[in-house]
Amino acid sequence: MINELQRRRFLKGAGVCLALPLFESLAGRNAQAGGEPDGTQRLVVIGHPNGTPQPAGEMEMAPGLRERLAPMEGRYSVVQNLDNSAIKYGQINTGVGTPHSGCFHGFLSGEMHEGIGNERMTFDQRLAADPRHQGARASSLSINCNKRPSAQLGVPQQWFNTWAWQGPGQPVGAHHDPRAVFDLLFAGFEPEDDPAARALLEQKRLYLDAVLDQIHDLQPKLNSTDQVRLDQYLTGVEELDRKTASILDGGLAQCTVGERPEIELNPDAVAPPASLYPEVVDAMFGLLTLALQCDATRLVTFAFASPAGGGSVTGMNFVPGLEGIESGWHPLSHWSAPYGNLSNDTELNRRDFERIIGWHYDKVVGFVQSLDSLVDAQGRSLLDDTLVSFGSWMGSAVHDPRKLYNILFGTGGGAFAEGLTINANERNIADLWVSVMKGFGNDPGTLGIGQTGMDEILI
Amino acid sequence: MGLLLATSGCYTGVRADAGELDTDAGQTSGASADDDGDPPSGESTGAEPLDPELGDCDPDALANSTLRRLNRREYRNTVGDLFGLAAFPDIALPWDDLNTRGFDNDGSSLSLDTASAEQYFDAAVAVASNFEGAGTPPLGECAALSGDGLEDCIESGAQVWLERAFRRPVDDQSVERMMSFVRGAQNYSEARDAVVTFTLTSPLFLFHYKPSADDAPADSAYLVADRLAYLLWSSGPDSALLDAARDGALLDDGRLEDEVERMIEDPRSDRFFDDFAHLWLRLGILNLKPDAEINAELFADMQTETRAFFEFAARENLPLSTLLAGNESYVNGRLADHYGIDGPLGDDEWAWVELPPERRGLLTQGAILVASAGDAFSDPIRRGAWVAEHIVCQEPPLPEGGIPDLPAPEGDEPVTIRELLEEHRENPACASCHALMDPYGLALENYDRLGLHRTAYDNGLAIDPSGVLPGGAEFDDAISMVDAMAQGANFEHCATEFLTAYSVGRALGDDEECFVELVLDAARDRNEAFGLRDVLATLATSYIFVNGGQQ
Repeated sequence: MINELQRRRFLKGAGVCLALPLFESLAGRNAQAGGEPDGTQRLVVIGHPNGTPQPAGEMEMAPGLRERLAPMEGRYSVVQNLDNSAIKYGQINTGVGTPHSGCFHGFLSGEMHEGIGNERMTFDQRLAADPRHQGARASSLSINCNKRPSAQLGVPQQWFNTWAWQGPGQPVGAHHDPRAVFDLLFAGFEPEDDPAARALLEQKRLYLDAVLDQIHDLQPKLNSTDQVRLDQYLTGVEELDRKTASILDGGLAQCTVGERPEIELNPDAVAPPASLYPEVVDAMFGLLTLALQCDATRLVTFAFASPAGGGSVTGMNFVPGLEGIESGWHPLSHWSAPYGNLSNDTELNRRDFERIIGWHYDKVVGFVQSLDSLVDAQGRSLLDDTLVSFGSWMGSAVHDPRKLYNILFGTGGGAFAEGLTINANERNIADLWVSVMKGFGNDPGTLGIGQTGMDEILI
Repeated sequence: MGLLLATSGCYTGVRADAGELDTDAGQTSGASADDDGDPPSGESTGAEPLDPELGDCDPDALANSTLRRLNRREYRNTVGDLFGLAAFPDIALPWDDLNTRGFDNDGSSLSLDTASAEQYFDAAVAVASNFEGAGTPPLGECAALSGDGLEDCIESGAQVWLERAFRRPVDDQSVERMMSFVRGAQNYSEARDAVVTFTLTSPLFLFHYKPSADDAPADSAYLVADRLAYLLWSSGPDSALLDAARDGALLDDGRLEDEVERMIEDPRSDRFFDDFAHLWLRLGILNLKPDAEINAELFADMQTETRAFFEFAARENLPLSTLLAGNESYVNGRLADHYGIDGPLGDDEWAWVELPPERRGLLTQGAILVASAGDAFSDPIRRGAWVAEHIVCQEPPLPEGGIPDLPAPEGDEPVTIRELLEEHRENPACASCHALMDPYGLALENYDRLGLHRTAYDNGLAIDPSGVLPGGAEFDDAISMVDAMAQGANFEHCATEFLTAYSVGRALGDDEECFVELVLDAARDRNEAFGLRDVLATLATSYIFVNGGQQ
């Protein structure tokens, strides 16, 4: 058992920090000699279901999308002509839920599963496991704004909703409720100087110590599979303990956080009603901006929605609540063929689909703009420390997992090049992640099917 | 196969309320609510200890146990029962994803991350602040005390308290850990918070697990008690079960069957009947339909009907096939109108009614017809696949190359979906799989997407509901199909398989079919026309439940 007296002594010595205005705090964060970055790198990987339109030419983007990116002209690179790792595993229109969930899974790990639930560790979690990327309140954060609400024959529900995995049987729970994200990242945000509240937090740490002790006692009594599972919980409790310590240590003093989002979500539902989807997305991006600004997390995976449906208006099939859009996102992605209840007007369907995609582009661009607007005393923006990747795990229409494009915003702490258009020449998305990991100082050599890397993205 | 009510004796046609069941529970067991903290003396009968039969099954085929946390239902019920909370506080708990069988109690589908850890901690604090602990050991009798007296009082009840909360024997170290928090308390209120917070954040409370074999073989009775309580009550064992586990009597010959009977008579078993039927038959899908909002009341009534029907047939131990072929149902005015049958007038009035000739059992109930249908039309392929998966457990594999759309009809002549399907089935690769599901769906074409009976499509074409079951039995329509299915063994096996999977908290592997057969054989030996209570009794003493539960 951790010595309680030691802990009490440590806690007693912990100083009280006051909230600083944003500007100074960012200066504090980055104020190294010569204005060099302090080395903190941030990563946000954003993806959407149902595919992006794939134009005929391998180096083109769908009409209108470049224009959507115009506000960030010069601040992004586009990698085109990418394959999804799923293709190497025959996951094109074969098997359960594919290509939708087949392309979702393996996207971040470069490996396809050997049986449902056996996802390998995804590259974001590999980064999260490196001490150099730790120190934030939450070591990583996974978001899925619109989960699939049901299981399917032979497939557990998490298969459709979980993008980040720590390893086989160890999904990283994806959040769909902005209130829960707020609580996770910002509870105790204000540095706690009320003695009674501090006493409660100190008490909380003692309880967490007791939980950790009990987990350690329990471990040897379990079989190896259960040990792995309990270990995942151990990691979660340890992180909660660190978070509690950080609150006592001065909270997230760097910035000022707003109110907890007020969104009317049914506590037992895993997806917002369609009409609330835009509000949920806005709230999530607002929280993410704050989270990066406050160093509440550094590694984020963000799926706009599940890669599978589970019903004609749930999961990827939902109607995203945009004015004038009456069909589901997924049916509209098949604008060119008679599909479900789609209108016979294929041009209208196509325009609606492109509107949905365009709306999501606007949201991502708005997010990176907000990161870019947060500037420290040396003129460095939060986006300079951050790499934001955005794309779909598949194509639209026939959902071909080839000729994909991925947009990289920001320099990730000066590691990544901006303003490039790169032809991946059918290399795999996993190759992109190999080089992203290199840029984060964690060269993995290879990542599943990613064998060559894509170092053109690096400076 | 008789009338649902005819086989049920003197049932009055009103759903048993909790008060009635309370009385029954009091008569069958004087110990169900005995939480006074004094471990009753052992009552071991000295009979042969339980040694579940293995038959021809391969014990190595039994899958490993898997650690799992309490799911939300279990957490709310367990905490509510432990502390006597009038209402569970409105606090977030970790999400429960569903497993391949649609169940929410599978450890491999339940998250264990930082957010879960934090939610459990916050929940413990919230429960502490909502606590109404009078009467709950080891706290209630200590309320008037302070100082050393308070500490001694809590310590004296700590062992019993933690054994109840952790559902297993408790060592001195656990008691000492809890007391280290109690000792820091300044008054009763703080001591109470310490007990609640320590207990509810402990992994020994939060997790079901099975210690490795060499750790504590003597604890197997506790494991069975825990499994049984979460099966039938979605909550922890009461003191009567724990007493029987502690002295080993629980595993005496015949004792588990007695406990199953006692627990079914307890009102807490309502949770099993509601939750299992809801999850097995995926009644929640109704809430995800595009018209769920417009039809909210109707869909809720349908769910009530199906749950009540399941509960009645199960509680009364009617032959399992009654679920398919029973010809009475439980409706209110709105449902009676919807079905076009005589019944109660008001929407708040519910009654058991005899069904007209075109309706029999689960498959013709609104909830099943809506849940299994497509969102836009009856979609007989989808319905057939639903029946194949949930009712006979013979789901066809998903086709290579994905599921193609049905070809559009050629020419201007209207065609039925049966005709379209027949074209599709000219491809032998498609035919073999469709023969496993289409017959069910086509037979149910006499019921539209919302379960209304019809004999023709909107385009005027007549509906032909006849067909051949995968086993070869021919039928004319849904009713004769249901009769044929009720006479076969597939449904009994399938229902038992779902129940077994639910009881052990994981989907069963193909190799584990044999263990399900053992349960069924034992149920048949017990009662030729066995019902769900027979299955529960034999399940509780079966090899897979006693040895292979997910704990």
